[in-house]
Amino acid sequence: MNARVIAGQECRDLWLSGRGPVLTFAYAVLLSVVTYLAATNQILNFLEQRESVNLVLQIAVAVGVLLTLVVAADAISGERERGTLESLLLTPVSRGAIVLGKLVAAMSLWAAVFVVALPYLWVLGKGVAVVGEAVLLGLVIGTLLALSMAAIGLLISARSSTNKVSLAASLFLLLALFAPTQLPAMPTSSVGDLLVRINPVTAGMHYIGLVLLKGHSWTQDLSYLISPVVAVLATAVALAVTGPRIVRLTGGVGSG
Amino acid sequence: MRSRIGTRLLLALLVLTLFPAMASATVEVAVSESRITGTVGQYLNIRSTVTNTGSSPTGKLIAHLNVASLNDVYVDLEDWTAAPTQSLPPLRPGERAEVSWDVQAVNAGVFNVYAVVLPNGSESLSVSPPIHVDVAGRRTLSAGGALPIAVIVPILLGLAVFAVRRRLRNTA
Amino acid sequence: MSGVTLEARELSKWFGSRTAVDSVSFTVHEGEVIGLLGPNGAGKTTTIRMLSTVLAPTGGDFAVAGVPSSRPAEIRARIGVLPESAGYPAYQTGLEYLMYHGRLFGLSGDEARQTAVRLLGQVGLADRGQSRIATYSRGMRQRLGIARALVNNPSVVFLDEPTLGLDPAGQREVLTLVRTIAEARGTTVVLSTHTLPEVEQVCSAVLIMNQGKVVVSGSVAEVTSTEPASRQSGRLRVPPGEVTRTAEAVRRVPGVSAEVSKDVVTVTSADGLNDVLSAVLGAGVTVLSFEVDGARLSDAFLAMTRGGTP
Ligand SMILES: Nc1ncnc2c1ncn2[C@@H]1O[C@H](COP(=O)(O)OP(=O)(O)O)[C@@H](O)[C@H]1O
Ligand SMILES: [Mg+2]
Repeated sequence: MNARVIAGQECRDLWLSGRGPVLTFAYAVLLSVVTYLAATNQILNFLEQRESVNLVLQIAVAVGVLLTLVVAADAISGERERGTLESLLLTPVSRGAIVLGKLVAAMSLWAAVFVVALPYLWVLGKGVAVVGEAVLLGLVIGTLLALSMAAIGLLISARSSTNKVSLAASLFLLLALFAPTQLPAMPTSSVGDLLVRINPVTAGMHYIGLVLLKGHSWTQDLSYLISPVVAVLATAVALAVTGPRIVRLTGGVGSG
Repeated sequence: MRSRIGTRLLLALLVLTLFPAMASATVEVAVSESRITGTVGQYLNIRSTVTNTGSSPTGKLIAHLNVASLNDVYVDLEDWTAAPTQSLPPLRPGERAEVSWDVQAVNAGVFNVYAVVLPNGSESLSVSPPIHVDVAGRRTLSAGGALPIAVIVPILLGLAVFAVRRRLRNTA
Repeated sequence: MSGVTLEARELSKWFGSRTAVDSVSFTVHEGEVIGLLGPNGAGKTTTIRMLSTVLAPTGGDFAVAGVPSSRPAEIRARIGVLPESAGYPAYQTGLEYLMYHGRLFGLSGDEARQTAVRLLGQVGLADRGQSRIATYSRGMRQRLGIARALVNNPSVVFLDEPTLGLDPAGQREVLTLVRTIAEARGTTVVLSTHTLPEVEQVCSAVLIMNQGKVVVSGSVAEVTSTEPASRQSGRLRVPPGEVTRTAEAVRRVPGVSAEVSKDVVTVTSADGLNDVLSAVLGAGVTVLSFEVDGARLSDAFLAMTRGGTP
């Protein structure tokens, strides 16, 4: 109940006066550029249609998750810095409800950018029966990744002494998780495959590629979804357990 | 897992050395589809099941995928798949194993794709039924299809941003 | 006197090895307006944060409005706090802000709106409720903060330096508001400040803190009559030619010091000024006037917080 009130206000702040609309606009511009390039490449026979859908979907998920993390990383440390956290902590609302409300607000950004990505996937994938599959993959994998990253962003935000620290730490983490997706042909060796599997981001992206591009069935490589699911569960538990203790007036370690 | 494979291997060796004449394993290869259609550049996932239908364990097996053109299109297997050959653990009688290949249809045309299992000894090859693969030439998509979306979506969102900003200014 | 609404027992807070609040104990009665007085860094804010449950004490415990410190959410439901230098969401309107906080205290949407409108009227922001907080002056924000502290109809209100950074007019408005709240609602008010006139204007009791400790507490009258405050001073006005002679006569009285400026001799004594006057008259000086300062809270404050961090 209280979490709903907080989520409602946080969403209004994000979308009516915050950076929600601008971030979504920037996201759309990026997808437009990528989609246009993919479409022209397709004509030039460099990209097969599924490949271009896969490319746009992976970028849509990656950037969407990034934006969600940015919003989450600002949620607590930002309020601390603006001096508005104390009056929130002074209400009888539980710390858990505060965390949940902020998590929902961050996820609203993911929901919005996902909707924005739909027309791009449709225009690239129409003709081959791949649009529905791409949308479903984006929804499932993207939501899993966005949830765990939003939770991690909130944890980092709650622990950070300043907003800058929180954003920097979150972006560094995301970069570290995404970097391996750029390595060529990772899962050919068994060590490489293990590395791909334990990193939820690379595992999720690899799964998208297998189903969308390689034509695997959904159930064939389900084991790649273990780490994204574990990441969601682990971060949710961490947030539920430590949230009430670390959502407090001062960030950093050892104070308050 | 590894130790189980180890014991099986040991068992197989034992059987092979003790009863060389009787060790005639029979392996059957089945594929999940008989017909696939696609377009040039598309990846196809070829899945097969290898079953030991004989009465004795097999040795280590090698599964190999092959692509043959039915209308004189040149096929370079290396282009179709980077790893046409995969090894399988020995199979006990009645045991089965799944093998799958990611294959990219690099040429248009009609092809037969089939899997071969080579035993380690001197027994005969086992071959799967062929999969009839019909690869169509590329359907060219006009860039005109993507352009309207690529233009309209940012414009709509830009208008939304503008509206929100103006509302903020007006109530200030 | 009515019951105790606020009780702190041996309350302490350390930040690392630094002691911010050191075994503070005190009680506040229902309906009292108590001034929490002390120089910067005395531990006022830390004390208020512990009592309002946003900061966990290192030691000791407390009860607010009859609720022990072990039930923080219940305490928060019964208190209203204006935090020190609080921030406000710049893009919300005053009305939205108050309604949101009303909802967080469990009011329904309608109740929250009614409460918000009523409070905006009470703090003199009725006509600015629809403007964004970004456009508010500092004084308006402070009054909005006080309104926010009242959304749950609290039985204890904590105001942490409510006049900080306001111009004299703004300070007067806020202090009048505080007095109104205390009188009209019978609410217990804890007013933290480092300036004295505020306490003298609105408080019935005072608690002086210095370096994390309570130096003295009681009613304003009690505190001003405590021992260190009995130091007395006065100003002797004499004809310009007799200033030097006056100062000499005064200095002959034991325990009395004198400072000279033009035609005024300022005298300070630990035990009364009667001897001073007779000594001066005995020296044949024409006394034009003799003003004796009352025992003022400022003297008590200065005497007791001497040596505190500036
Ligand atoms: N979060 C904190 N971390 C470390 N020291 C603090 C913190 N908050 C307050 N202090 C220290 O505690 C002491 C009391 O501070 P405070 O309660 O703010 O005093 P006041 O409100 O009376 O000015 C000061 O010495 C201050 O430096
Ligand atoms: Mg203070």
